[in-house]
Amino acid sequence: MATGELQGHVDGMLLAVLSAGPLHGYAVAEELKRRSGGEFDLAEGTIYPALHRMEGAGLLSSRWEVVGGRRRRVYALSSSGRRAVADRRSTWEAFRCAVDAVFASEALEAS
Amino acid sequence: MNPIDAYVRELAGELRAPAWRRRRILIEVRAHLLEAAEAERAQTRDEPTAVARALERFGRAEQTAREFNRARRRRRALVRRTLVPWVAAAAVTSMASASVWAFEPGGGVRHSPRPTRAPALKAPPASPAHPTPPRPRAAHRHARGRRTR
Repeated sequence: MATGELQGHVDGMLLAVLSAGPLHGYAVAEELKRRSGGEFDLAEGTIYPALHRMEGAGLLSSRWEVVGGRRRRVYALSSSGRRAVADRRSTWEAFRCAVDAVFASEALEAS
Repeated sequence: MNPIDAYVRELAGELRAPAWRRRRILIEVRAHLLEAAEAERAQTRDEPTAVARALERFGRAEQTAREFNRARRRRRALVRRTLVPWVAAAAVTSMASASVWAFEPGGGVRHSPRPTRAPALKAPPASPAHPTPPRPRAAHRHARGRRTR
């Protein structure tokens, strides 16, 4: 899927990925790829500005962790982040249902 | 210099951020690229190809820096939009409070002009025209005794 189509959804998807538990940046990118079945062709470098932005907004917290002698930053949802995931999920469900309904109507008219 | 370090150096040159934030970003990016290269190496078994694929997946340094710089500009604009009205309101309030205090009676500013000449020496209080003589205590006691009887 093109990057342009993902614009506006990246933050919500990152929050959804982190709702399963704390992860570092690389693991977030891998999990996003795995959950989307490899559909999202997102430059991995773009997730870090999003993670930093959401941390600044209080949706995430982060801490350093050392694994194999390498430092990495681990991100976790804050309580505001958990509320934001729930809000975005319900907004997305409403949007998806509306789009499905529009496409279903179009298919009926075509047949 | 290996390609990952070259990438990190290029990113450092493009980032507009305080030193502490820049250091954090560069550590995160370098760790990510090393981990991605390791994962790619497990598939290709060729070091240069693995590193090249990791860098390709991450995106160009210029693009990554642009995203970070945009996020910083948004953050600063938000701070300006949030803080400036509060600071201005606090300044106006404190100035208004200071003015009220200064001009209220007993405040910091006198209403009557200060005398330019030294005031005249105080004269002793004038004695009244018909002073009342003090009542003798004995007479007072006598009068009270008569009343009680």
